[in-house]
Amino acid sequence: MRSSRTRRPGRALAALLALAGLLPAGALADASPADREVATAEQRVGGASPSSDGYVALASAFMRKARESGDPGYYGRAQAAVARALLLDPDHYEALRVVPWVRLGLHDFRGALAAAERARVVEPDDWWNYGTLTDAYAELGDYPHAVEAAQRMVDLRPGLPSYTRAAYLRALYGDRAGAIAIAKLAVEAASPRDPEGRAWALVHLGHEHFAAGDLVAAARAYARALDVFPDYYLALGGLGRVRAAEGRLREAIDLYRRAVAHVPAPDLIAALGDVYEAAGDADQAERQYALVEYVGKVAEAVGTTYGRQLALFYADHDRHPEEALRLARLEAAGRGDIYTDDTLAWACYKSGRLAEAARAAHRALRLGTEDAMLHYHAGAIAAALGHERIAARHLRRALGLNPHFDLRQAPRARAALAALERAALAARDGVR
Amino acid sequence: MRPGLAALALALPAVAAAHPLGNFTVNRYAALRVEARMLSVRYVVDMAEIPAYQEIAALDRNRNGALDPDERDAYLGRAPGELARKLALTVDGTAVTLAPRAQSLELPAGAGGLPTLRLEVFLTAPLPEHPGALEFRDRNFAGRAGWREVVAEAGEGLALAHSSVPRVDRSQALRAYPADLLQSPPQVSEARLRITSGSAAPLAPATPAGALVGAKRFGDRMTELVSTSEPLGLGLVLTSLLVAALLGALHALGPGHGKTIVGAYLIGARGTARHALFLGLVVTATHTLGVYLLGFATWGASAYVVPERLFPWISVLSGLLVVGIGASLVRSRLEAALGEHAGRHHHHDHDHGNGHSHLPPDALGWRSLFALGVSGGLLPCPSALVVMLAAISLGRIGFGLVLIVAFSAGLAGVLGAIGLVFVYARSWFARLPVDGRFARYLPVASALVISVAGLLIVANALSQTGLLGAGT
Repeated sequence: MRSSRTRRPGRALAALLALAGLLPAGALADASPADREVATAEQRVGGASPSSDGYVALASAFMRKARESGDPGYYGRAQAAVARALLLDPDHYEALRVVPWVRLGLHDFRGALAAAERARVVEPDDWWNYGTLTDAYAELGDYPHAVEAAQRMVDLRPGLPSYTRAAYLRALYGDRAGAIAIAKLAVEAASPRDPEGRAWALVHLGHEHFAAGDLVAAARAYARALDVFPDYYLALGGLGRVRAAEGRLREAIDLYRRAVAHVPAPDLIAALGDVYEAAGDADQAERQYALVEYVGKVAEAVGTTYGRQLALFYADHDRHPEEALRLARLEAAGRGDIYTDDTLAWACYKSGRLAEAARAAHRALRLGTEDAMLHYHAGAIAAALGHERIAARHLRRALGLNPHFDLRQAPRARAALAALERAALAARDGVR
Repeated sequence: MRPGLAALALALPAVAAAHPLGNFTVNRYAALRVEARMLSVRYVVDMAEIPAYQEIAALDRNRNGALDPDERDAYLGRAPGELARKLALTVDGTAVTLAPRAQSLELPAGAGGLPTLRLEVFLTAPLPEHPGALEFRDRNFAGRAGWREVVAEAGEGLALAHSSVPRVDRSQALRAYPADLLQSPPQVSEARLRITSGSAAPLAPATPAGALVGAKRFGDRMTELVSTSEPLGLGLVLTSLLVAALLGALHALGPGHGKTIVGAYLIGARGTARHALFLGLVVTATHTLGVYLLGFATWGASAYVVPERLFPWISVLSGLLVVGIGASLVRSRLEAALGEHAGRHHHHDHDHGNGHSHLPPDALGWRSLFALGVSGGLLPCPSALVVMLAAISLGRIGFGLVLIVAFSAGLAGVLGAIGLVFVYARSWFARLPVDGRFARYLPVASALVISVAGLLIVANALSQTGLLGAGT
């Protein structure tokens, strides 16, 4: 028996094609979800009487595109779109609530906080506002308020956006197991219609597993992210880091190269250089490091900066310590989160400002975060200040949390700890 | 690589781009020109500061920080071929190689005097004397952010009957990007053309601003009805309505919309012309309402839902409805058939009292007929939905609504007509001297056909939602 009704797959395909026909020509073939969103929104503002709603949709689409592509140029576009929406209607609520999101993208954290507060006053029960508030507070280092906002957000709308924030804050407060549990919830909550969102949640889960030293679980999460959203640069970088930690350097190089081919972010390029160095290819390593510096030079020429990433790179690789310090201080002027404090501490240490380094390292650990890198930095600074017992404790903690926390720094942490233990042993023998 | 709220927006540094499109973009451009027996492609790659540095660093063999003439020549000797290998061209279904003919390299200064890189390659491919369909696809730098633009035009004595890309570019071959930030970079890396001989009468609009350009690629004439920017005259309205009705009718003749089910039902149910017309009306009403609802719902939820995701679920619903109808028909008809067999006399008496009834022997009667009509119209035709969405986005909602009614009416007209054909076919069938038992179980068999068809719809739809394995 043949029913014409049974030829449904063809029909569904036709439906898809017809719907895709709404997009500008040619956008179909390899259009990403964000590309489709941009196209739909552009259509809405392309008509005879573009509305604020249309521009808000366009701003959101640009924000998504920025995240998906790693191209920060889209933040400027999002900013322009939301400005146009507010020009048409200065009290347009949907536009008001998107403003802080855009400001966060542009790294204007104080502006983001003020804008989020404005939107919250208008709609105190909109979960969205607590997301932007959480982010702004966290970036400014006001963690109690960030926790409060995140809790409100989870209460109002449990789901991917609120879970990722809750997981992030839990990890900051030293509860890695809790963070992993919530990060898993976030993955579960991700909509199958939003592959990039799901991939992002998986990358976040991978980072949490890696921080806990669980390479197998981390690799699995990153691999799943790549299944959901192929060639996702954050997942490629994450998996590259795991492979490097496992000593599978060829694979790590391949993964990092693919990530950098999509988005040449300084931290990814630097990590690729570190793997080359570990593999004994000093020439290729130097090429990558030179590229990182060049990225910094371009950023400088544009008048903005990759701040934290570059400062860390310079400090980690003992290049231009004064430049590292300048960038770290610049970053700390507009940002108060613990990782900015950590970067400042590390840059101060590398340029010999030990007292300032110790104060910043203390601030970086104020929440009791169980992060190997933070403890490694604190340990190195304490050792330089002659506080051997404290230094050894931090270094032991760092290596206990994750013996593979960094391809370049973990061996240094081990060596520093061994030196401290030898010295302690010698001192004890001396006393006897 | 540290965990961070990064995720939500903060992963990226705040960089106001030096290159108008961001300093790590690789921007690609292809201008196709169809000439007599030849296709020419002007292919341009514009690399912003960072990729330019990477490229130059890879070329700079002697590490003196500059491109020497021999390094430059080596690059120009190698790069065009590498780029050409990832430019796929098919003409009338056959792959054709694009050969590089000429190339040039420039290093225009970008932010802070840092170089960018502009590589231009001119390629050609032979065409048959009368080429028909042509497809071009650029696979270079896949996944890399940037401007991706393809344009196409026809030379002397030729015309593009159809083109998926505009004729005129927006970036002057990547020399002048629009300053307006709201004009987002095109993400087009392929073109589909249909070539005819004759004077050039470009169908593709000069600017790609028209959001509906892409629709024409699918031969969807419906959207053209609402996408015209001219004021609506009475003549245009009437023609549009007529065309919409015709398209609906054509659509009903295509696969789907349960013609088999309608036929099976009417045969089994001993339907009359009245039933067939009623069915047509219900289908029209359901289809119209369905398109309206889904259209507005999609429009409202467009930020959250991908419309094509909804289709399988509506199919599931529609299929389940059909299964339900089929099952209840099987039951009631089986009972009727068995009853007829067991109590012939009783039935005869009853029949006699009713006079000459042709009403279906089902308990459900009109109600199940109504449900069947609903299931036939429940799945909105995608092209109707496209019209609806286009009408909304163009601010011509009223006109769109009317067009949908016309479309649905055309659809229902054909379904009703098919129903009538089945009705008359059956009465002709009934006059044949067939075995009594066969005639008695025919309604049951047709009800089974309905149930099975419903199950198939559900299974197909579920496979598309991804719930049931790979599907077809």
